[in-house]
Amino acid sequence: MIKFKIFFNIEKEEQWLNHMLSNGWICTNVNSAGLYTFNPTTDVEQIIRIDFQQDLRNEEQANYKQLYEDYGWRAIKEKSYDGTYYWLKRKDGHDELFSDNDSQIAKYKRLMKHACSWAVLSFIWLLCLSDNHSYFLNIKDAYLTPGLWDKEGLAFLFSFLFETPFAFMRFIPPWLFLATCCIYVFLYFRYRKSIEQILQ
Amino acid sequence: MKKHKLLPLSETMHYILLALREPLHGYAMMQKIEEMSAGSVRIAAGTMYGAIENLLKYHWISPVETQDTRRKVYQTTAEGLQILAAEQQRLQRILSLYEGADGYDKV
Repeated sequence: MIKFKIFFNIEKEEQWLNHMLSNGWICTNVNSAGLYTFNPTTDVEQIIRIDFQQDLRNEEQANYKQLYEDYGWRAIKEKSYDGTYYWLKRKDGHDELFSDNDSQIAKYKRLMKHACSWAVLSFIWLLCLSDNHSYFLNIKDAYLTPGLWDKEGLAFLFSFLFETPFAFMRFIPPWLFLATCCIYVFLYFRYRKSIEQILQ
Repeated sequence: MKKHKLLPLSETMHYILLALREPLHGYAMMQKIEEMSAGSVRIAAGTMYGAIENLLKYHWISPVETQDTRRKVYQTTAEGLQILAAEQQRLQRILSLYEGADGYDKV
């Protein structure tokens, strides 16, 4: 079974994967496009944890993986391009990746840094795309066909339908970047709140 | 003087520096620490990885050459041992307070 889902928050993603697992579906592959492959399993006494480690160089990555494997964790996907690592293990009472507050906080700090850079990046893209253009404020302005709105009947319909995909390509991306930016800003504060909760 | 980021040592860091007075790789460290602490401290994988990275950064531990090509083995450095000695003094002072000294004389 393949499911499509997009997560921004790895804690929500982890919860969902474990929920699927408890229903007898084990995740066997995750793809960057948001496609999750599941196989049926009868062994529901397993646990999935998502770790976030950015900027691991090749040698460090091998070292990192070896350590987790020594602990009995098995990687669900071999390579990580975005810093997320999916680990699977049989439940044995030692089912967490972190055993003290410092390392838990360090994880949230890595996630905050990640969220922050994506928020800034998408904001920059948004600025680039919306620079001197009003396409995304009024969808009518995204139609660039000369004299389109003065046309009538079939001529209008034809030009309108022809231009529509292009208009959407001008209209939607700025909104997407704006949404992405907002989501990451929200995530940033969420992770910060998680740290505060640990420190309380 | 500003205090070092890792001082006073956390329980995790304490046990790792102590365990690494002999060369060990990550998982063996966890096992040894579990034994040293009579089962009360079990350092999880992510915590172990982060702690090793952190201690390497400050050169309190360093990698040791071994036959094992897959697992990196580490040992506490001279600097790390100095940190331990300073921590020992600090803790001894606290212990003496536990044991009834008023803190003004000796130590």
